[in-house]
Amino acid sequence: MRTALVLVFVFVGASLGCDSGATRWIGEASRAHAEADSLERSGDLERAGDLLHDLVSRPVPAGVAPQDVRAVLQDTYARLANVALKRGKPADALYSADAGLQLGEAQDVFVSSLRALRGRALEALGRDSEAAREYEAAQAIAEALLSEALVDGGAR
Amino acid sequence: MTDEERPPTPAELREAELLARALEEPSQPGRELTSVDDALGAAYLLRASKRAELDELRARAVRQRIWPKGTWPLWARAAAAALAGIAAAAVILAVRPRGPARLPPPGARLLQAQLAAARPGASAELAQLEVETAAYRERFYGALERAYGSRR
Repeated sequence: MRTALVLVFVFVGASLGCDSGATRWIGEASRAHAEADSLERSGDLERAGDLLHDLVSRPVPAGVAPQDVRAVLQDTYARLANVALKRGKPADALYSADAGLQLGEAQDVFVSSLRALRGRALEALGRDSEAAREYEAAQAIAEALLSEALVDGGAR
Repeated sequence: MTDEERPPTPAELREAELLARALEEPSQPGRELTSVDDALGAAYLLRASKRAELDELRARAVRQRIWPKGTWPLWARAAAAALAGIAAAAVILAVRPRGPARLPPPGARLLQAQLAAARPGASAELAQLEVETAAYRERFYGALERAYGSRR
């Protein structure tokens, strides 16, 4: 009887552990962005970048849907690229945008942002024709999403 | 040459013969066994340890003690079955592939800011994109926390 109860509690504990890993990761990502907001407002771009870099370097726990992992990480890479641009480091911005795009292509705001920021980085590096292609790709996604948004219910 | 490689001495051969006889015919009275007393003791110990296997009755008694049969009352069995069912359900829920969260659709203002920022020399527009992205991010994490359970 005791053995059976121990096994039951181990199973329940393990399953709750799996679920709490995903919940914790989402919560940590949300808090990291909130903290990066206040650091950026106070002008500490370096620490904001470090914080976001730490977030993308953490292992992702099992139990988070791959699409959600992609969205969280691409949003964070886009923000890292923006922080790098604000710090006058276009090469770092390009690296972050590329890292984000390597996670997958999709017709959504995350990829659109990454394309736009990649264009900004390339433009800052003097690679204008490549930048133009990135801007076009970003605009194509944003225009398609804007059409959907306007059809679905006007400006939000 | 080591002790083991050296051929047995006549005295050793005599002792071996005496030991063999003592083991085969243990009940001969008056036999002189002092010289092989130690060896005889060791031989008896070995023989006894070989016979120390569990017979059927002892094995059953040991099994009964380790895993008593039929000692669970009905309510305990029902409770254990219910707990096992709950545990199995919890494990299935935890390991099943989770579908993606239902993310909020991006608003028109965010998309317009993206369009404005995706142009050469549009540095000022990046600030507006940042503001709109931050607002969307808040809604986006709200949706994720609802889907995965908030720990705040």
